Amino acid sequence: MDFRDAAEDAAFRETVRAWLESEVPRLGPAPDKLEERVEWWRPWQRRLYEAGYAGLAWPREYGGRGASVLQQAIFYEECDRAGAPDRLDVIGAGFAGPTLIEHGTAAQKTRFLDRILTGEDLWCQLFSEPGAGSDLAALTTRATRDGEGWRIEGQKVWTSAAQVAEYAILLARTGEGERHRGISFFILPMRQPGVDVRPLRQMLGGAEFNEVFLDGAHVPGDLLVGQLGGGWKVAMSTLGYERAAIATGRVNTLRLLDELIALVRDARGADGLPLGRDAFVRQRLAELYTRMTLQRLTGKRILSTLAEGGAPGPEASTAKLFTTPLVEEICDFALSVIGIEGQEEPADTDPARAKWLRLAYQARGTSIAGGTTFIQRNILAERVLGMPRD
Amino acid sequence: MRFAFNEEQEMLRDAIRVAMQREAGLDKIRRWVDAADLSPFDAFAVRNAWMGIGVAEELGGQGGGRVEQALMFEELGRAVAPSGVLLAGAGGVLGFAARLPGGAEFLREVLDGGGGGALCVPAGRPADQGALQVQVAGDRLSGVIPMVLEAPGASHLLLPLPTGDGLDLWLLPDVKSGVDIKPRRMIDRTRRFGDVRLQQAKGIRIGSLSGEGAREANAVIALLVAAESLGLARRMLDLTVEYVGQRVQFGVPVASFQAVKHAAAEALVDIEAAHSGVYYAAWALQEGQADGVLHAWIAKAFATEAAVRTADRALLLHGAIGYTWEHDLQLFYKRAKLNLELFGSPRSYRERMAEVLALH
Repeated sequence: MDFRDAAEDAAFRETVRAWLESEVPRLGPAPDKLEERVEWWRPWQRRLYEAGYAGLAWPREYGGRGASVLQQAIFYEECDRAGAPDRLDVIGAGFAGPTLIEHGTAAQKTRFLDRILTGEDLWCQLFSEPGAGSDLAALTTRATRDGEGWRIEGQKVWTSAAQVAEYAILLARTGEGERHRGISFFILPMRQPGVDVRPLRQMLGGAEFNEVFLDGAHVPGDLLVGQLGGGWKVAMSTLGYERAAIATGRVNTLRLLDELIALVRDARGADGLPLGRDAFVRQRLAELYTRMTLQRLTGKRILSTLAEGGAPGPEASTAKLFTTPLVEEICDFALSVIGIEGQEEPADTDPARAKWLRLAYQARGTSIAGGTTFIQRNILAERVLGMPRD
Repeated sequence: MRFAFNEEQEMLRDAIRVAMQREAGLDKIRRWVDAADLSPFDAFAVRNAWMGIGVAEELGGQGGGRVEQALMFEELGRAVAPSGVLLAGAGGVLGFAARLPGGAEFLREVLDGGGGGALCVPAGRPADQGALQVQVAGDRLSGVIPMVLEAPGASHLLLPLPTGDGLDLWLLPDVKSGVDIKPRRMIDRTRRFGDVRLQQAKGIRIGSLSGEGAREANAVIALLVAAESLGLARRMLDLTVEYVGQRVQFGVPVASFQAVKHAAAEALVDIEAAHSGVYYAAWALQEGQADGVLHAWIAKAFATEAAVRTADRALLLHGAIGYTWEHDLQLFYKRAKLNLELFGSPRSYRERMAEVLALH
């Protein structure tokens, strides 16, 4: 057991830190609207690419750095420390790309992978449907032969970034077989007639995900990934990469806690006394601090297992269930410290306050995305603890 | 960066687990408790030289460090062992004395003598607060220290007295003269406590610890209690998963009910987080990292509460049988509740964290 960086990892950390120190301050603040944020982000992604920091863990032959998972984690840690922009290419670089590296044809790799790393193309994921969320195999979107290619009919939902994506990874039914058979995995060009993206307004009014109606959309013959009818296997790899991306991802609870502590330090209660003297506030903050610390340590455990080539154990399965309520509670506590002004329309209020409100609402989404809390508990009980299915 | 046990650590864990199963199983622990005599376990622990795990070999110990000690205590928790003698000896007396110049001599004597010492502080508070309300006149000590872990039966006492910032350590080598120990009965009968009354008892001041040294010594005890609670929680979850898999209601095992599965899954979430905290703290204390003490507080506050939550879930999932004397769950349940308070409640450690976070 040793939590220090190995010599080469420590050297990598130094290099990254120095690079970020000179690059990050040149960026202005991120725009609020997704469409504007994408254009603001692209030059940054280009600089990452040129400096060799895009696709860190991708193999070198596909434009990546071939870095270890530990170095990838070090890179994200240093990005967080330096206040670097959040990633907008999580779907492309995090799981569509790795899926293509594993299952794509040579032509698909040449055509798509580099453009993911340079930030030219953003991707989205057309998996979920109104009747097929956690039960993904219940999907009904259909692909039928249409000359050399396929014609797609169906409806997808909860699709993040569909409004800015050039391509989608798409699951559609191509056969009559059983649930898991007869599903194929495609690459769908998003900018074409027959693909209708309709934003879904969230509770707070913003629109970050969408419904996507597929009415005669066309997939060319060379954009099938893996075997016809063998899409379930490919999708399982994608979901594996997705979970890894979530587990090693960027809800930076350390930064959140630092901001929460600063908020409490400056705040006064209704009695005019510093809130930091209130025993309840102190206890609650220390409790959240405790859980933040453990969440980060569990992240290190998962990385350590991955770095040694092992499959992560129970700690990886529990990470999402530990993290989601933690983020919700940190944000809720911040809002309770702010008081009623924390409930003002985000657009009308101080940006620092609006951030807590947005995060608090987003966190509710996290407990649904990638398998709801209830589904995750079932998985944990059945697969880790060996309890019977109901 | 590596967050995993090495081969020797895994062998140590397996050896302790096997020895416990073979020689100190639940049937034996129940017998010792019924007879109100835990000395067979003390002798067993001494025979296996467990007091010396985590103590350097050149000092007469078994080698290893805090990670090995934590592993041992996790296993002791899994077996709900009457581990007070090891906690008071290895964590308390040795942990405090090892920090003194000349502490090595003291260590060797204690290890050769088979342990049997108690750290003479009120066990409901962090040990770095020392014993309050003791008067010193020359080499004579007077006062009452309530609720001392393993005081009954101790051959000698190590008494930390608060100075300005740190602690003076006094050895009371003879508990027969000027020392009166009144046993306390606890609902966890696998633990011995007693009130220590000193009347002109002869003491030897063997050295003093700085405030920082005292906090580090206490952090080791906090860590070991946390590790033990982790072991308790793991075993309670195992017992529960096994029971609900066998118990049939409405024609199916109750383990197939979603509510039951969710309670078990949430216990596992708690346990894995506690594991991360305990073993990072153990490593950080071992390596003298600046954040070691803070992480020991974090581990103590979280793991002991996680064990209590697991205990309550386990009790509920066992139904009425779990509430009986006959069922083993009670042994673990009571220990989990005791460990919550032992050497500092979660509340007291969270208050310390709030100090560190400078919340004025």
